[in-house]
Amino acid sequence: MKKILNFLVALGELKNKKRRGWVLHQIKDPETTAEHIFHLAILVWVLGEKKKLNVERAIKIVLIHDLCEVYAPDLTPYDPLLPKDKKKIMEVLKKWPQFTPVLKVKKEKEKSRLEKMGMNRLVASLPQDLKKEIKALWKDLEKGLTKEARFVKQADKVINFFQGMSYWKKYGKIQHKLWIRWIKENVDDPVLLDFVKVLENKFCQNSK
Amino acid sequence: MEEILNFLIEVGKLKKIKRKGWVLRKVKNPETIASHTFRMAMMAWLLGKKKMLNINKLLKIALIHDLCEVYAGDTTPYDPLLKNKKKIGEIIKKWPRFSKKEKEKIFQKKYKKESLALEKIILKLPPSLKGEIKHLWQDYEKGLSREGRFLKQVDRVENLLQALEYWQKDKKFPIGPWWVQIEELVDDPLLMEFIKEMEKKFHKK
Repeated sequence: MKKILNFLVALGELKNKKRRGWVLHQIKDPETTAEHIFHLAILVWVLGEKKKLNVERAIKIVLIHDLCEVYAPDLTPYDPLLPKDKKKIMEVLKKWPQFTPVLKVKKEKEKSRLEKMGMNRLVASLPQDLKKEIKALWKDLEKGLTKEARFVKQADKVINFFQGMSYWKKYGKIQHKLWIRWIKENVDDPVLLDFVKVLENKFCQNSK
Repeated sequence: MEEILNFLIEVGKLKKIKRKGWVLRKVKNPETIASHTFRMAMMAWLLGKKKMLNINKLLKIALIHDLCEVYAGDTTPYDPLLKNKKKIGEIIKKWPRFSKKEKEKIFQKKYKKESLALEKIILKLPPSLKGEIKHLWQDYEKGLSREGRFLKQVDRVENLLQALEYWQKDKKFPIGPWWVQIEELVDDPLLMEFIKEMEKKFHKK
């Protein structure tokens, strides 16, 4: 019982952790990781039913997909390219930096290593059965072993895109056109692509 | 698909609504309803597994249990007493009690308001999903299944945990009344055991 309590206290940190992508974009009062998880869980549930997925498994994967952030840094793809000077960060982000394949593989490996360490540390003292379950779900997500995991992986990008579009509407600051192009290059699930299309219509109708 | 998008836009508002209990207590940067929902779902999962409950149902009820607050707002039992803003501090200290009859009345009023709010938020969803969410919510509110009854108590326990965490930081509000209330609201043996651990952790007994 004590172990479960400590675990729940530790992951309570995610209630306060502001998502770093938005902080870098200087979005005022951005969503926290816990809030993001909640929104993604609802998206995955609602669209997962349409796809006849195992919704319980999919929701569980969502709930644990960012747990590693309690201890691992919340990395964005741009970290290796970002200047220290905060003002210059926005300049870099405007260009939506692209990576060479070599750099891409390298940074993904590093991210995955740090996250795995964070995850191991977090679940270390949980009771065996829970530790095993959470680790298996995490591995599933990392490797895309099941339909559910592959769907969550893409849905995560879509909900982030969704939030990005909402912030863009409200504050500007976000390269929405490049993002629309990017999301279409990185999502291939038909239901999610449908959703992206509806999103694009809703947010960008008069501003293309 | 458009109705699903609109639903998600509305639901996303819970990422912005700060929990009223903390606002009243002047907690700095308090959690939102979405954040509370996240940890409640985790708690229900981890503890519900020990009780061999239906986890699918538990997680879904946790996710929707506060959806109505998008429109109904976050109500506390003390709202009618809080109209006089000067007295808020005093009321929080005393944590007023209600008679059974008063409680029943407060519940009915809240239930009506929230049930209308829920109807509004799910109105345009596909029928199967709409039926499912409505049924899960009623289960939670009325305690129709073991899962519904368990979650009602998990909601209070997550809230107590958060209260203890805020209280530990600067002791700006009295924690005593929370303990009185939790003993009245929780009777699930596993949760009671969990609460004992919390007491140990935060009060170093």
